[in-house]
Amino acid sequence: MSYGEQPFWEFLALWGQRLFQFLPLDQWALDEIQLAVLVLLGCCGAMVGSWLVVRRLAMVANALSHTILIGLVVAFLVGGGLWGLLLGALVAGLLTGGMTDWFSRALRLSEDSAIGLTYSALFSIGVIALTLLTKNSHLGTEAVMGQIDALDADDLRQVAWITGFNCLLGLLFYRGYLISAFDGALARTLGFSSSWLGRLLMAQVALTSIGAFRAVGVVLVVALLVLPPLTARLYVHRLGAVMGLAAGISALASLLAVALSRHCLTAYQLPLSTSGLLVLILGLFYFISLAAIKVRIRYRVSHVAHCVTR
Amino acid sequence: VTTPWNLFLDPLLRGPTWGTLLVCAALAAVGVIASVRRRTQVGELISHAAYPGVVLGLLISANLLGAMVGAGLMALLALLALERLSRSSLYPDSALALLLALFFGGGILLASRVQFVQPNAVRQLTSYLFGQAPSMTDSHILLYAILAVGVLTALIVCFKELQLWSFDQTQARLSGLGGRWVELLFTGLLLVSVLASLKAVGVVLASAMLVAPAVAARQLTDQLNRMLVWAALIGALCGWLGLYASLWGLPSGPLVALMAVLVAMGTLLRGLLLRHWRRGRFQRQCMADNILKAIWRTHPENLQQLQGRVGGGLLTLRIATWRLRRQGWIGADLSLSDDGAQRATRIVRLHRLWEAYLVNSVGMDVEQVHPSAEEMEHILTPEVEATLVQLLRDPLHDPHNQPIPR
Repeated sequence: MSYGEQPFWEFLALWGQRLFQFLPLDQWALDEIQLAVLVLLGCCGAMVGSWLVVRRLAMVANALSHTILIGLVVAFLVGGGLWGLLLGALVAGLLTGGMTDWFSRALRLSEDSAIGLTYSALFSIGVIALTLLTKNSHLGTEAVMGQIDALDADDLRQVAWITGFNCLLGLLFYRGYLISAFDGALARTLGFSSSWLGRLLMAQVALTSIGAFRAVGVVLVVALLVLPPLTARLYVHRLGAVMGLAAGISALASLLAVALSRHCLTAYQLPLSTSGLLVLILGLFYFISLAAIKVRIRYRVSHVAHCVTR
Repeated sequence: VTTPWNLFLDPLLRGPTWGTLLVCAALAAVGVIASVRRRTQVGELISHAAYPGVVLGLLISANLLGAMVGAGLMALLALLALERLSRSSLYPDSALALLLALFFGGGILLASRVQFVQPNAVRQLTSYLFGQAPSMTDSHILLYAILAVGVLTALIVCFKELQLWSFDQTQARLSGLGGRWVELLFTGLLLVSVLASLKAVGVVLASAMLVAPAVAARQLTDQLNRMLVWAALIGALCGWLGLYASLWGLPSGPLVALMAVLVAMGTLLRGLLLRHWRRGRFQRQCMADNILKAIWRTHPENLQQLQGRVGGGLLTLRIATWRLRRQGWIGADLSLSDDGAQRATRIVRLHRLWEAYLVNSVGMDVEQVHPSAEEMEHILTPEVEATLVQLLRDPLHDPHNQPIPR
């Protein structure tokens, strides 16, 4: 079954119809697999990204999403598969965190230099190793750009496992993350090790990136990690609510992106990258929300001023 | 494949060689200022945000100049957006990551459009991701030479202002040497050098050339002007070697970046080893001093008795005494030679002089001065000794009523 060439609203209608037929996985269409992968990644991104934003680690996550290429090399060397990917994510996360720490502590580099050096080292080695190992100079490009149209049911299963694992970690360590993000002293008193929680968070970012690299590419992982939580933070302030709203925003944006890219293909013969569209839609959500919040604040201020003068 | 030296002359390869070398030197020099001001991540934003501009430029004009103009405009837009966002309550790193992802996503969207309109432009586009220096020609040299020389000249001419602005902005404003225009100048230089390097180093790794040579230069010197020169030299060297390695069919960006990272790691390790070596040398000297002093005072018969006085492991002591014996300070049976006796006397003298100074001139309690003297006896120079003697009027006894030897 395929959606074929459906314009925007027909796509949504058909999707809604099929959603409630509860089809088994092997009858899902390519578009539905794409959408499901994006929604799952959105959940991961919201779960991990909210912590990154409040701990001001967004640029560290950017570095990590690039250095994940080393993880892909590791996964390639051990023969791929889900366990290969998990091992790769673990290696990349620990290596990035460890190198950044070592540069800034033992070698006394400033934080941004340490991040920059780690990023350059691991990413360049990753690109060269991937090119040499696979004899395919396009693989590096694919890893950066993503290859969303090549996803299949196996990818969906992998991403589902990764998401499940990520959510489990996120739930288990929710309190630890919360306390160490907002009150380091209390975290120490209660016996949470901030440095270990930081490393765990890096491992979760690595897990998200390695799940996402095939679908959206390593650079756009940052968009999934940072944009939805930032948008959600404009509306709500409790962290659980931020996570939920961010996941919802990602899911909505994914649906729109998939539908829109089909629509452009049908109506204008314009094949657009779904992941690129997804990022732009997420950006659009953020800036619209920003404008809406500004207007609301201005309205309230003028309302108060009006009451005071009366 | 040709030799590295031949790259400068070979008619096909001299274009990429000189181009890469020049832009890497310029980028690395700007990187020094950027890393002093902690702005290297802005360079990362510029390079990523330039990507949609490159795509648009190639769509419209299909040549390098078009790509660079497009990239410049788009990067400028990103910088303006960053300026605007940083005035809101957004964290700076969130703002950077947000814009970086947004612009790069736009680039990928545009690139997917190009893929079907102009299939042969795609090769050109992907070459901007990781850099593809060998595709440069002689005609590119002039453009890159102008850009790189312009950037380096601006750095030299405005060095004083940039230096002051990098380290002390208040002073820069007060002395009228800087202010807003220096910041604009720096941002302009960063923009131009990152854009110029996109063809050679690529969008994804341009920031590597900002960071790595600057880190290496910082390890080699601590003066800003020398750091600039070192960074430019290292950048040029990495550009040249990276280009040479890319002749084997690998993208040039990662290779150039890898060279720079290797140089940076090398200098970092050198610094680490130097620090360790200096510390070890000082510790060995203290150990030797302590052994000589112990022998002078208590005449131990064997190593066990010496260990009772000095502490430390037996093996360490054996090595240290072997070293002392070889240098002629002590004889075979743990007895001091004439030189050794003289040096031991001097150490004890410094120890007791320092104790006398702490008690008589500083007014410390007699019971508290020993630990400080244990440390100072290894450090005091003959000049300090002479001054102490003069200050204390050449005392004969220390506060514990021990004689001060001469």
